[in-house]
Amino acid sequence: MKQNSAEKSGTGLPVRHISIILLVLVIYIAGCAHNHKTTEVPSAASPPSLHQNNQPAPSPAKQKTTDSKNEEGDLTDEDLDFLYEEAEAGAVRVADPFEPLNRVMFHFNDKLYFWVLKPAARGYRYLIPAPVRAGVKNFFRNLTTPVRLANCILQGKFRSAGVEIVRFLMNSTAGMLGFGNPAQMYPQLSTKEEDLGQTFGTYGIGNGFYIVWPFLGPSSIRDSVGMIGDRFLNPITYVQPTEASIEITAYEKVNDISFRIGDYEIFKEASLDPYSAIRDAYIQNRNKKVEE
Amino acid sequence: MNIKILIPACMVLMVLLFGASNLAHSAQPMDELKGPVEQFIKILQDPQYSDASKKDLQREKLWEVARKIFDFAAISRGTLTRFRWKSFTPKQRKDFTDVFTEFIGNTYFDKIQGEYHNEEIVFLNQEMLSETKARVTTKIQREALEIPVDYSMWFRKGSWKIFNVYVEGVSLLGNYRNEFERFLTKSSADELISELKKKIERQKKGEGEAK
Repeated sequence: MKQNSAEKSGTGLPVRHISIILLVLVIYIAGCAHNHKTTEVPSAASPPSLHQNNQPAPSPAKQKTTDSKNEEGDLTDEDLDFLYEEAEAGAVRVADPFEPLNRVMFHFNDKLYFWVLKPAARGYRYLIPAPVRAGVKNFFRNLTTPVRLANCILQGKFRSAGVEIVRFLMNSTAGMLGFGNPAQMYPQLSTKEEDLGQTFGTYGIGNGFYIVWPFLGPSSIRDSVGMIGDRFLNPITYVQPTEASIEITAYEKVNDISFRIGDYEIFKEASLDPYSAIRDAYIQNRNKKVEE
Repeated sequence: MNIKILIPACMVLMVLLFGASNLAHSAQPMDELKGPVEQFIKILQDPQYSDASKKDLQREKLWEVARKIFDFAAISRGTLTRFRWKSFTPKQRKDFTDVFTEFIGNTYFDKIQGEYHNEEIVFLNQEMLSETKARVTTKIQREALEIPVDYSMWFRKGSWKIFNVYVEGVSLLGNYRNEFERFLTKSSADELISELKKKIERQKKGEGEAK
């Protein structure tokens, strides 16, 4: 990865330079602090996505197709148009040429969850208090800063890249190697998930088709390529021997699940065909992340 | 000060004040959402329902609040395409609305009644899409996890009501529209209704198939 080496040389600057850059960054971010309510918060609602989702001002052609006789007499034609457009915008689909194979993998992962991961996460959750598990989560998140940083830069999100650096330095030092999350106290230092799949998405590359990987779960061809790229920037990849690296990844997964026991269950419960529902949800969730 | 300036200035001021108060009066979907959410949490934390035998009573209370803020009729209708809805008979429409409402209600109430761990709801923003439509962004704070939940709301019949929910960017209406469309290309409306009824029955009997 070229970006990897570029970054390494970037962080190899003399300490004096780093402190100057940091100072500038801190001032810049602090300057954004009082604008925060107006800038950061609406971005969470992501106006561009709203445009896409709602497509206001229905076209005259659409008006004609509205039910002139609304049997329930409850909703106005305008409301009905709005409702249908909102539903339509959320009804995202993706090509799934390997569906039979994907279903097998889905089944495998489903059993893996109920037979292995969930019991493990439950036991772990019972034994380890929440603050410790949160610390572990913070630690792993801090460790994967290079992945997010590189992707912020690749997407031209330089402010977010700056925030990633400040967070990393703050959480690695004041946060004791990343177990703590002092940066959390500053809303302007909040960051979003960034990965190479999303970066490709911002370059206009579509999802391609859907893939379910054993152990790793739902993905698309685009996101799978991204996942491979991101691995190079994830320090855990370089842990030797490989078994140890896999064990650490598995532990991270169990730690993550310990916060979400029940979420997968309810999603399954709420759908007629969980496989398809999860596929649709995955794609929608990814599309939203690309938009942000 | 010259009276010629003063009069228009007063008029502008009045318009502004009147306009602002009018806005404050009807256009606060976030505030109208906060009330029911707080009631919800109160019911969930209320120790009088902690006994297993009181869970049904608690469920009823939750329904009461939910019915006020969720536009279930619109949500049900939005999960079907225009074409499908038209192809349903009035009775099927009514049955579908009832059964789907009960289904999503039960599914989520089962979850929050079973696993409520003092999650906090943080209200982030409200964006007015028009005078009567808004998007309210919130997040659920659970231990070290944040789950973004956005609500599409509209002003109907004198209050703001939810007609769509996004959990982590996934649209409830959109997802069910796909699901039901897939189902209805192979099966009939009555089969969809009975399938949902079956799921409700299974939920009532205890834990559903997901466990």
